[in-house]
Amino acid sequence: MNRRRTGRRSTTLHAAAVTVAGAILAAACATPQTAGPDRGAEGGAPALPDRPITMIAAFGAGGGSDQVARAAAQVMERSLGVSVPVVNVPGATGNVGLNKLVTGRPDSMAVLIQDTLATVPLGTSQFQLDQIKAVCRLQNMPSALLVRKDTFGGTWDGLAAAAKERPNEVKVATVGRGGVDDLMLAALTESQTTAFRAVPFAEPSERYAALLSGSVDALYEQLGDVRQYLDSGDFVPVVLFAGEPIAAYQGVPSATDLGIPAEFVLPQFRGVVVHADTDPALIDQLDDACAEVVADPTFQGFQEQVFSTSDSYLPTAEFEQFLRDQEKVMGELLQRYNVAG
Amino acid sequence: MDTLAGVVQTILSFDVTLWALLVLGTLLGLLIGVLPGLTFVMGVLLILPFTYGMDVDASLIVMVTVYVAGTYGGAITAILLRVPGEPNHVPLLWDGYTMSRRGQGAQALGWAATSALVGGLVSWLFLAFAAQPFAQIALSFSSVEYFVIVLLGLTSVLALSQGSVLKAFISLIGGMLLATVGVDSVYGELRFDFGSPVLQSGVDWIVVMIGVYSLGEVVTRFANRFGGDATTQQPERIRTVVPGPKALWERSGSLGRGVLIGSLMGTVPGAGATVGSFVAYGLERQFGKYRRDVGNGSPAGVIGPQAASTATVASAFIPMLVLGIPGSASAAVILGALLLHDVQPGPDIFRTQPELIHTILAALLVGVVLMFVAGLLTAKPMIRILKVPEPYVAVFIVLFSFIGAFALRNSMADVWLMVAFAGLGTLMNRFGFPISPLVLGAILGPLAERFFLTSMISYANDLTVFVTRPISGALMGVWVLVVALVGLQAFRRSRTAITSRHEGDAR
Repeated sequence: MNRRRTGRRSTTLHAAAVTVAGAILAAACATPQTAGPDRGAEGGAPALPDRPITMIAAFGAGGGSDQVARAAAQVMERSLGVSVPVVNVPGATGNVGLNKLVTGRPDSMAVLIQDTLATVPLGTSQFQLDQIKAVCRLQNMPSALLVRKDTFGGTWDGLAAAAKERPNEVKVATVGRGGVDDLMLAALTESQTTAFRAVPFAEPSERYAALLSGSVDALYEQLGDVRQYLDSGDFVPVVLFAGEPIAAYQGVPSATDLGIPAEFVLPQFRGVVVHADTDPALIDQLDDACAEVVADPTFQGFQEQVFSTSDSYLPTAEFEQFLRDQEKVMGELLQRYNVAG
Repeated sequence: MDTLAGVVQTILSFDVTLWALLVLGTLLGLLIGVLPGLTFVMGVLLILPFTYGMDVDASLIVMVTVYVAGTYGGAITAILLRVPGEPNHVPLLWDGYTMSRRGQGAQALGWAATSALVGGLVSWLFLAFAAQPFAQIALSFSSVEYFVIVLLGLTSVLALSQGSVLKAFISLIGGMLLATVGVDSVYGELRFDFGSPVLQSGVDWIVVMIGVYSLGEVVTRFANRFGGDATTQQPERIRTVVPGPKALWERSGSLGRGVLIGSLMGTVPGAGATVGSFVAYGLERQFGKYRRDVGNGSPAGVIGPQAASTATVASAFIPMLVLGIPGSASAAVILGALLLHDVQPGPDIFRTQPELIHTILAALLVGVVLMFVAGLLTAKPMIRILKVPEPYVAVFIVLFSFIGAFALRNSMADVWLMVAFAGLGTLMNRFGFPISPLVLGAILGPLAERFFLTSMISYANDLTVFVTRPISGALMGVWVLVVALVGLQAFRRSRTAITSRHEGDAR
């Protein structure tokens, strides 16, 4: 925490104060769209967009989607030369936000995550894959089943034994019904004959409080989102759902170790998508902007903090293919495990 | 005492720029609080991009002060214009606005500012010196307890209504039904959308609130040709706005209840300023010393909710700093900002980064005091708004209603819905249906549903959990008491057949 004091240079802060004064004016206009720095079309190449491009964060403020949207938007503003205001449009596992994207004009982006994509094969989505186009994947991050450190011996074997002894009574906090969490729990049921009771909590803070307080026995979550509890040692992962091993958790079994086929393991991802009618030239520019985002040192620090893997970035074509593949796998899993919303 | 020394030292170390940021943050928070549709969560979000370039201290200071002042600004417009700038100020309409109609606007504003100060300071003390025990209390609440609290809030609105309990009930159920439109949060089912993409996105309660209160009120007043008492009953000279020590002592019960409720509601994730404000109002109405006057222009109806609203701010930081769980949406945004600055709040932070804690505490403390000072300084000029002929004020209310509805989600659909709700509000006024239960139903209905379903899934559809868990059992007891009181009220009223309606006696 030594760096806190060193950063207090009055010149930058004067600039900051001026910016905040600008924010007051912006707020007086009362439209969040005007809140971004006023960049206009200064000196940009003619091919660059000349109007603000909204970034829709389809989840609440402060969450993982919101953070990645804001961190990416900041770099993209520099790269595109127009402001990229972030708008939170939460609701229905991200569907309200995606619905806003596909029903609006093709002049905005949205952050799409695994859980929202999962609602497409489930049939509860308010958009279809052909209504959107991929731009880039920014994050690919491991999920895990976690328990409190003093429970179940902090191991999968302990948790599994309890789940077998009391089928459907050991509670796991999840995001919502019929999501990736449910699919992964069902996959565990198939390979390990463990039956859990999934308890959905829409708000992340409620999920974490539920595990901390013992209202639930385990939690299905991205490792990066519970970093503070991992660092403090309160939570320990007992199963990892990841594409590649994680250095910090060598001893923890992965889903494939427990007999789940590798192609069925669905780690969390977050990527940028646009309206299907978006000009291909603009998509190219957005993808270039993505490349700058993942190269940005601040963003890289953020990636590290949330355990985002080294292969996180996927450019347009590969991300498009990835989305289609994932949809197919999830469709198969839904059928296989007969999970419904 | 290390904490206190650390905070004092931090405040003394603030340079001119940080002080400027504190003042700016406070003013910005007040402004955002005043504008309906721009909630303080959105206010903190608006600031967020500007904080990227600052260091951790500066960004914390700005966001914290915006958040604190944001819980107060809306009180001014709620009291003077019957426009709730924030959802947590809806309870202030009932007594605060009635007071200002009676020419006691200055007193109402004084009480609001004082209650915000007391709420802010006491909850600050909890955060500074009792964070650990409070965090433990927060953890003992689960969705079962949340449900009972929300149920209590929903029921108390029936107790507030002074007209027909049946009409209030219909209004409440209407509000709850409105809120079911769209996709439900537990099962992801689409409900009551009638195939329309507008309805698929759901009806946001802020749209309902702006429509029925702000624009609806203007329409109703317009239909009455702005006749009545607005300008005639204002006293020539406004003597005092700050309550003296004697008055404070007299109202200490309301203050105490408000602060405690706010501190608790702020600490438990899932509640927050709005729920705290409603529950505090309900308590004043049911159990306060001045319960007979509440709903009829009593300061108690301003004190409880405002003290609770501002008390939620400092207490929302309790679970965030102790457990890493933000106690409110605004706290979640600030948590996100900390993460972007490579700071990870959590169980260890009090030990590992005491300086950061001191900065947050200092910003909260200075923010609360600045908000109070700004509130007092603006109260007198604000009162002059009441001297402006109402049609001119109405123009601004209409303008802000439209901007607010649009700003919420940048959606024209919300604007049209808001206009529709203005029509509904006008009709409800006309036929004697109270409006507040509708808004409360729309706000608390989805929470009630979500907490109920989560409890039922968690406890395998065992309804007895609501009485067998100790905290929820005790709260259930209070609920039964409230229901009994409401029943008794309804019974008495049907015999005396009072026809005056709740919102109607304000004018």
